Amino acid sequence: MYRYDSYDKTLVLERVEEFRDQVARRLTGALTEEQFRPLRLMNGLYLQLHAYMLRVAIPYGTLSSDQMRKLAHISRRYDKGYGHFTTRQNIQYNWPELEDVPDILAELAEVEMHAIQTSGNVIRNVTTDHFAGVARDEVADPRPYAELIRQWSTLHPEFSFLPRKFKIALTGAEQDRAAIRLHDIGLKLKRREDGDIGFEVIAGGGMGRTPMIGPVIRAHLEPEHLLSYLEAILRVYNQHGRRDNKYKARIKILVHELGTDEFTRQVEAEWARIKDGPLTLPEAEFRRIQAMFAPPPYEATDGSDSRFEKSLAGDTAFAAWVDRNVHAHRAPGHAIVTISLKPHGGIPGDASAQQMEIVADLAERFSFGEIRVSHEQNLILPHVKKSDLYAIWWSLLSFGLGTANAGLLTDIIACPGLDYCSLANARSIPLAQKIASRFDDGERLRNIGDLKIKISGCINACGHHHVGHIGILGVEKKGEELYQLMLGGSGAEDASLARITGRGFSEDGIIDAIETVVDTYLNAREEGEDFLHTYRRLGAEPFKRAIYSGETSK
Amino acid sequence: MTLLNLTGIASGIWVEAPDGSPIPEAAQVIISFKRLMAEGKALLQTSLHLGLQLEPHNALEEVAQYIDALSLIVIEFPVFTDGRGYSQARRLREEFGYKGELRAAGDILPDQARFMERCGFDSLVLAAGVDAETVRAALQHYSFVYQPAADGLVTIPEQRHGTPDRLKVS
Amino acid sequence: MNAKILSAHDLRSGLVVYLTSEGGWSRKLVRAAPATDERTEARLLDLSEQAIGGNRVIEPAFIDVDWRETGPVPARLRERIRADGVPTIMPEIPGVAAE
Repeated sequence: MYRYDSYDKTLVLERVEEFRDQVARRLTGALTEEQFRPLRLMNGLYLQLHAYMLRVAIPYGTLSSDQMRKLAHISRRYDKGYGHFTTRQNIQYNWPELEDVPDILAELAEVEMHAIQTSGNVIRNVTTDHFAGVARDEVADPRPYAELIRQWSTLHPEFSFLPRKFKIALTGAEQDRAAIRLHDIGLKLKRREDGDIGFEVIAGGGMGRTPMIGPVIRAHLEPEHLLSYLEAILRVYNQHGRRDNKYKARIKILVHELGTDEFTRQVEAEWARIKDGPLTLPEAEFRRIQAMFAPPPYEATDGSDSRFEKSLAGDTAFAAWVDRNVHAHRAPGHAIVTISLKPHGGIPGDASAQQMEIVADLAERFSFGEIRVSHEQNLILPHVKKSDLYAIWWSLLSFGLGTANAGLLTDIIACPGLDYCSLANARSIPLAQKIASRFDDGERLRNIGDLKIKISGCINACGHHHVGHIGILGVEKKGEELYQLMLGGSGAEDASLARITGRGFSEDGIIDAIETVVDTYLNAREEGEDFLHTYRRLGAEPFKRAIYSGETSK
Repeated sequence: MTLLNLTGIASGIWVEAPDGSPIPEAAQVIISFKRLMAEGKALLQTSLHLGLQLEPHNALEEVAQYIDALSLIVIEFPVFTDGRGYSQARRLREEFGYKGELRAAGDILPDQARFMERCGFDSLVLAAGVDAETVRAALQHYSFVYQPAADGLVTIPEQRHGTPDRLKVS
Repeated sequence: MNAKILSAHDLRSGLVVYLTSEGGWSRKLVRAAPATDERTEARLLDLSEQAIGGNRVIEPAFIDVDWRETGPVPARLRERIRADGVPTIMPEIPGVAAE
C-alpha cells in the first residue's frame, strides 16, 4: 500500500490547518455561509437533509487495518457509531458537528487519509477495480497509476473550478469491475500485440440525468504520458465544457455535442503540445510508488488444501458463502473474500464501528492488513489463505457480515435516498430492505443467480440505476414516492443502459414487479443463462407483458 | 478595489478605453478583445503600451499575433466558479509565451489566489470586501506542490528525486 | 389550515430547527410559528435574517404545512422526514431525533 512521505504528510496537514482556520472564521461570522460553502465543499462537508455529512476519500478503495480502525474511532467519537461506504469508494459520516470537522480531518491525517476533493467541481477521488493487484485477469496493477493521478489532481491550480465534477476510474483487468465506461474518464491497462502495456482511454461516459457510455478516444496510451494526456483532456473540458446549464456541464455532453472525433482531435492537438513536457512520468517516481504496491509475501503452497476442502464438503452454508463471496486469486492457495455489507433487512453499505473493527482485525490476521472497498458497497479482504477461510467466515457470521449474497439479487446498490439526501425524491434504503426480505431465501437466490439491482432516489443516479440489470428510479408524484422499473443495464465490460419498462409503481407494487420479472426470467432462461443474457436474448417485451398484464385487476 | 501584486512586476497606471470611445491620451491603455480584433493592427503602429481585457470565452488563438505587443492582459472571472481563466492564463504563458503582466479581475475568493499565482498571474484586482491580508495569508498556506504549472515551481516528485532541473521563474 | 413555517439548520450541529413565535429556534416542529399571511411571513423572515446575521442558523426556507389540532404536518414527505430528525430506517439514533 502507498505510504505518505513527508511531502504528502505536510500537504495534508496544511490542508487541515487551512480548514481549521476557515471553520473558526465561519463560527465568528468573519465568513458568511455564502463564502464558506465552497470552502467546506472542497473538504467534503455537505449539508444534507438532517445534518452535515462528511465524505472521506478512500483513494482507489484501498485501506489498511489501521485506517479502518481510525474510521471506526471517528464514527464513535464524532458521529453516531456507523459509517456509510459509497459507490465511489468513499465513506460518509452523517452527523458530524461543524466544530469537530477540523479535528476529524486531523485524525484522518494521522493515518494518511483526507477528505480533499470529495465534493465540488473538481477531479474527485480516483477509483479502481476492487480486485486490483490480485485479480487473475489483470495485465498490471492500476493502483500505482491511480496514486499518481491522486497526487497530480490534488489542489490542481487549473482544474479546481471545472464546469462540473469529474470522476476517473481505472482497471487493469479484462472484466470491468470499476464501471470505466460510465466515468468522465475511464482507463484500462491493456497489453498490445507487440507486448507493450498501455492505457485504453475512454472519455465522456456517465450516469446522472443523461446517461452515456463513454467512447474510446485512444486505443493505446504509453503509461509515461498518462498525466499529460489527462491534462490535455481536462484543459479542453475546462475551456469548452458547458457552464450555462448545470445539467449539461459534464464532459459527456461536450463529447456528445462536439462528436467523439472532434473532441478527440482537440485533445490530441493539446496533447501534442505538452506531451514531452514536465508531466512526463519520471521513471524513478513511478518505481517508488509501484514498489509500495508490491504483492505481500504470500506463503508458498501448491494450491491444494485438505482442511479447506473438508470444511467445504462438511458445511453447506460455508460452501454457499464460498461459492458467492470467495473469488479466484492470482497466488496459489489464496483467495479474495467479499464481505457483504448487504445483510437482508440491513442498510446497503452501512457498517457499525464494531463491524469496521472486526474487519480491521480480520485483515490484520488474515489479509496482510489490507482491505478494499468496492463500488458495490462491500468490503474485500484481498489476500486470504484458503485454509483461513473457514475461521474468517465464522467470525464474519457472528457480526452480521457473513451474508452469502455477493453478486446475487440482494447485493443491492442503493443511494442514501430521501432518508438522508436533500436532493432525493424518494427513499431507496427501505425499498432495498423490503426487496431483500421478499427474497430472503438463500436457495432461491442462488437459483436466480447473478442479478444486480441498483436503486437511485432521484435522477442524479448515485445508485447507478441506469446500469442495473434491474434498475429502480425513485420519483415523487403528487407527494407520493413512485418507483420506475428499468431493465437490461450493465456497468461492466459489456456496458449497456437500462430501459424503462413503463408506468411506475408504489413501493409494494415495485417489489411485486421485480418478482414478476424474476419469475419471467426463470421460466424463460436457457441452461446456464443468467438474467442479463436472457433479457438480451428475449428483449423487453415478455417482461413488460408479464408486469403490466392484468394490471387493471389489481 | 485593491490591486494585489503577487510577483513584483512593475505595473504603473492603466487607463481603460471602452469600445466606441476614443483612445485616451495615456501611455498605458486597456482595450477589449473586440477592439483588439478591429483596431489591433493600427494600434500596433502607435507608441501606446497596450493592455487587453479578456473574457472567458475569448479565443486565445486570435490574440496570438499581438502577444509580443501586449504589456498587460486582464483576465476576467465573472463568477468565482467559472474556472476558464485559469486555463487561459496557463496557455498564455506556456503555449503563447506571453511575458507581460497577467492580471486577474472579477469575482475572486481569497483561497483562489494561490491557484491564480500558480497559473501565471502577476496581480489580482480584489473587489471591495475582499481583505488583502486574508489573501496574502492564503498565498502562504502550502509549502509544496504536486503538479507543474506556469509558475515553474519545483514539484514534489522532482524534489523527491533531486532533479530540479527547472529553476523557479520569477 | 394551510400555513407556512420557517425551517433552517443549526450552524454548529447542522441539525434541523424551526423558528418559534418568540424568535427562538426549536428542534421540535410543533413549536414552529405558523404564518398564514404575508405579514407574518415577512416577520418570520426578518427574525431568521437576524439569526443568520448572528451566525446561529443557515439555509432558512419556508415549508408548507397543514396545521391540525395536533400540530403542524408538513405537506411534503421530504419535510416530514426532516421533521423526524432521523432517517425513517433508523428511528433509534440517539441524540438527534426531534422528540
